[in-house]
Amino acid sequence: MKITVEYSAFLKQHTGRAAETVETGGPCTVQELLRGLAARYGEPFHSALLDQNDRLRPVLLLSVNEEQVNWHQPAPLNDGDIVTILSPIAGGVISKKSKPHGRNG
Amino acid sequence: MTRPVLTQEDLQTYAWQMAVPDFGEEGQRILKGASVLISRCGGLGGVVAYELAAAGIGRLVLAHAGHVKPSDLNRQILMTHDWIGKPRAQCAARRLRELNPRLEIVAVEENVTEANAAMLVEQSDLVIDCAPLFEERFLMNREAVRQNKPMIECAMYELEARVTSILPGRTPCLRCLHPHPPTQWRRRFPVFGAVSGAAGCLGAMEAIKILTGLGEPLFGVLLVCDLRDMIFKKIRVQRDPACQTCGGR
Repeated sequence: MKITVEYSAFLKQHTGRAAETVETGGPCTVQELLRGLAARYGEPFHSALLDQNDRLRPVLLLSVNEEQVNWHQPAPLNDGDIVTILSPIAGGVISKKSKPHGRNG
Repeated sequence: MTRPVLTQEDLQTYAWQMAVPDFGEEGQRILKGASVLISRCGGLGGVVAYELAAAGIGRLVLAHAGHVKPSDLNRQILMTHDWIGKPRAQCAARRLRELNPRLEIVAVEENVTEANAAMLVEQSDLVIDCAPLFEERFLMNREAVRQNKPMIECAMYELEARVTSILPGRTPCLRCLHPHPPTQWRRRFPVFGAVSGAAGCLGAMEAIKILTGLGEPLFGVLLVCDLRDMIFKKIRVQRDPACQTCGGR
């Protein structure tokens, strides 16, 4: 199966690309796919993607074909699926001193 | 929300947008009677504020601490070179009044904090979140959910922009999407003013739509824009039944 995987923000920096096509070699779930990618890329991508129990970091948002996926429910993939992994982003520059009364925005 | 009568000046100023189907004079009256809180009026929030001021919103509450710095000026279009070293909130208010002298502005020289979040949300019909710190975002999210006010989430990074609209009890809240603040969030990151501006314009349009009932807002949908390749996609997102902020609602 050919699966397109899209990375955003910090994850894109770790992989060096915004998207890639992955050949799975057989049926797999999105959970298995991501664990395989984490093993292939190694650190720091592995730690950015998965926690110490090899579960998706809860701060990340995962979707298959533009539908959010719950990591705790195995999601079988189909040929041609698009997997998107979104890391959180916000709205401005944070200064070193930026606390609630701090700088920038 | 009140629906004030439009003056001759209003009718002349907003004639072109009142020609938009399903908006009209009634939509304009709703905007005139509306109060919107914008957390931080920098690269994102400044554009939201500018577009809402241009569209004839009645009242803006702007929360933004600190003073104008040279490095603000690549994207924070409400800040000006001659105002460097002076309060950002006042600079933003001054620029918005130049555009729309009829606009009521509450310029708060503080960012959203535990101490002021409830009060700031209370005086607004809708909240627009443009803050750089997730702590601030979570505070506003909590207050918007508690006070049952719609909130628009705008974000950007490098050439990426994202927007979603939150309707407490009906759509995922910010905590549903990101239960914890990210550990990798950096002090400084790359961004063009045109990217934060694009996210800000989308956020302003969402505000106009939600306030006036125009079109289909991004409720339960995360709009993800990659401006490097001009790819736009809408991801349907889900509520988290165990969400610590909105799970019981």
